Amino acid sequence: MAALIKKFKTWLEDTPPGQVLQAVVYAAMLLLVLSYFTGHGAFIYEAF
Amino acid sequence: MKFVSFMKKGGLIACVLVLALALDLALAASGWIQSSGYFWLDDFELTRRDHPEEVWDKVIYGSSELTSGYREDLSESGYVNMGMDYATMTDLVEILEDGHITVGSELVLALNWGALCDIMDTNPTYEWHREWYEPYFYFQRDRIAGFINDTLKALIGAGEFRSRDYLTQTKAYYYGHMSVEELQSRVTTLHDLYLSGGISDFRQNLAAMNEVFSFCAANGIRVRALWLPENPAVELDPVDVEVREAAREVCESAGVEFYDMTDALGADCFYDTGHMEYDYGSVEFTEVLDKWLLS
Repeated sequence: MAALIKKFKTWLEDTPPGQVLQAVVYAAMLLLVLSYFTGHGAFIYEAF
Repeated sequence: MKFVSFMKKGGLIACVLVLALALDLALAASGWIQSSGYFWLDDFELTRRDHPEEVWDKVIYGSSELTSGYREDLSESGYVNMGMDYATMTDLVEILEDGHITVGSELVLALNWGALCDIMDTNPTYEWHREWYEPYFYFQRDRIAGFINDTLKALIGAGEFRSRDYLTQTKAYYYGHMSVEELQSRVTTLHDLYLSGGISDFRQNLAAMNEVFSFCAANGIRVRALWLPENPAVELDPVDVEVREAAREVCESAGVEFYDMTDALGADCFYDTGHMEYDYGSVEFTEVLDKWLLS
């Protein structure tokens, strides 16, 4: 298992497809972080 | 391995930012949140869904009292009912000036104190509330986070996947009538929340009316205003009357026709103080209003 992980990490770091995959994953994480920022707060609909 | 070298020198961070920006723009441009049926839509989005045409020739704009009052399906005047929760005149200025809608020949402002109130909450999902620097994912965070949460829960068997129920969503209509006690309680609540500060809490929206008039004059749009009917079962709040008269004055100063419908309907037409009952009151209102709209 450790060897497999090492091989995967090497692939991620040292090959163009690995770098692209990293960029995609980080971009998705960045967008998820934006989505999970505190919302606009309680929006109360019953006023009207 | 120039690419790998570039990425190791900070290119990865640049690529992540570019990709995030591209995905953000793609989601915004796709309109998926509005068209997929997986998300609750606000009243602006519902109006857009029901009127996909680029130009709305005749538009009547107002707050939720208009939404439940003007029956497009029965009207012969052919106006788009742009009644929206928490819609105000300052919203309308942004909508028109930033091109969120294009009005063809006629615009009618359906006024009440709610549409002129500066201190009322708004619906944060209205698209004109998005700042230019706000990523779309961030602007839509409440909806997207809810969707992801529901999906993840469904995947682990703790809930159900969202269905496309919102494809048939409609605006909020009102049925039945409040009792006298409920009406009195509502009057007190509304006064305490929005009217106790007097007319100074209405200045911005009253001023915004003139901006709307200027926009219409510059774009060849005929503009008129009406004051929506109010339930005669309850006494009018003095601030409400003061705001109405201020709105009348703004219109008259600008040479804009002002149609006062305050006393146009009986108490049996209302659900509460201002929202009309959909099955009867709205029908009556539409019939009376149509005569004026067609004039």
